Amino acid sequence: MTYSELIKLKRNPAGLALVALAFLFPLVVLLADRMSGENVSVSSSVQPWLQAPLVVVFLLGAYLLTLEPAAGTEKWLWTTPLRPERLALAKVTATALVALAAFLFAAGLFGSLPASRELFYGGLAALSSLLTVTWLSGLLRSFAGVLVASVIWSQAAPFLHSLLPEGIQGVAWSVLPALGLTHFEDAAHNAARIGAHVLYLLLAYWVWARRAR
Amino acid sequence: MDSAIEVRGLTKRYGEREVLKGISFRVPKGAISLYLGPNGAGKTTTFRLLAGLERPDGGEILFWDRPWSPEVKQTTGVTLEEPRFYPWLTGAENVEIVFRYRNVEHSRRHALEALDRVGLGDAAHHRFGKYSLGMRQRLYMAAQLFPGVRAVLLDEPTNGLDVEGREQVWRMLMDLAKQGVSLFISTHQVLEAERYAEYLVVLHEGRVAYQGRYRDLAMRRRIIVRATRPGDAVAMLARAGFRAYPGRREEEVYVEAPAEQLARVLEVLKDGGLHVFDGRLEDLEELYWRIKDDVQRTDQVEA
Repeated sequence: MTYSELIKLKRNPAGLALVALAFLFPLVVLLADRMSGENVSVSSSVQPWLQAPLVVVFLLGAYLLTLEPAAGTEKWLWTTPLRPERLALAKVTATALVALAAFLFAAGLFGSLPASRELFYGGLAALSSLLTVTWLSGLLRSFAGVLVASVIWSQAAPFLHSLLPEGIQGVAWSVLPALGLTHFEDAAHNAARIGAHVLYLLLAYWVWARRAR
Repeated sequence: MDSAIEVRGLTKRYGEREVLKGISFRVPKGAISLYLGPNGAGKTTTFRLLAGLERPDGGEILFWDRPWSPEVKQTTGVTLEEPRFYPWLTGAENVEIVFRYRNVEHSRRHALEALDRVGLGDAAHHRFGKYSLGMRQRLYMAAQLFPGVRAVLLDEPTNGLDVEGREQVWRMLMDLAKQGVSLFISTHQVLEAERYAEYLVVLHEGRVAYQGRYRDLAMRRRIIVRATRPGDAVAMLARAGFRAYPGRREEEVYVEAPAEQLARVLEVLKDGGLHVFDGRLEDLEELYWRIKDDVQRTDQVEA
């Protein structure tokens, strides 16, 4: 099934454009910083080697899980034995493979491999983001919807989080998607974080399995 | 009759409009069954319900005595409305992907074989986006020719095809039926039903107007003659023991008699000194209108 997704991607103009954008993203950040004026700097809170995989997850992942099924696969979900959750898994795996390639590309481009500990937590962060994109795409079924919801949430959530009582801010930070959910290196709330991931995994399975039934 | 598909009391309503009014029919195994009706009769709605794309308001659909399920989908192909393929992939790649959805082993080889069977072998490696309408329809059919297929539902498979394309599709469908695949094909073209149907389900305004073997329906066809002095023709035929009456058009006479009596009818009229300038069997389209009128009359009586 993953092979089918890769076949579909290999000549898909929109998919390949998103892949190219993701691969070149760290370079764009670097060039923007070089070209900016003395008083302006462009930087990312994420290491260059992790930028490309994360952009793959948010752009290509959302694209494969929303637009592409609407264009081609939806009818086959109803008329063939193909199970939607299996299709979603294949798309997630294809996205993860491209994200891995993006990591290797970025690491090669910048000539530096991260330390194994950094790589481990970075990989977990990318997988966690992929999980979020999977259930969000299954719920919204819209590429633009996923992107807009992600941007709005990333801007609004820190503010909303600050309104919570101090006692629960730590746990809330670790279980809410796109906040601290991906920060596995912060070991203090890892039990809550892992619990939240299990819930999100079940949510992803549920939203995809109920499709075409 | 062994049934591949059995529909019992199927109803479907969109708002105030009742599209299917409790239809029941059977599709026999290993035969070409045509689902005939004019546009808007409810054929596509029936197909959408059969393929699980929509839920019926009432009734039951069974494939080999089982409801639509992944197991039934494993052996049943469906072509519905326009084909959905990736324009940037070749025909072979598109069919290969669908076969992979069906867990077909050696999907690439089987995809190429399926393309050969629908006459697209030479275009197998051309992109779907470059295919003509006829090629697209045939590719849609190729995607249903997977190993282990037992039944295929085809909604208007020859729509938009030229004469040659239609002939090619029907030849392929007849080959499939010979291999024991049950085919249920919707069409609004009476000529196709007349030529290819072994079994026929006629739908009219959400009701089944006829279901049965095509041969049995064909036996109900009347003889139609056109002759000078149709009034005299009716009288002469009545004297010869035929049930005859004036037709709808001028100079037309209908005779309730089987096909083998055509020569005798013509002889009676000729012996009576009438000039007969047309003598033939009622075609299926005329028979279809007659069945439709019967259904309407029944509806009026019921109302």
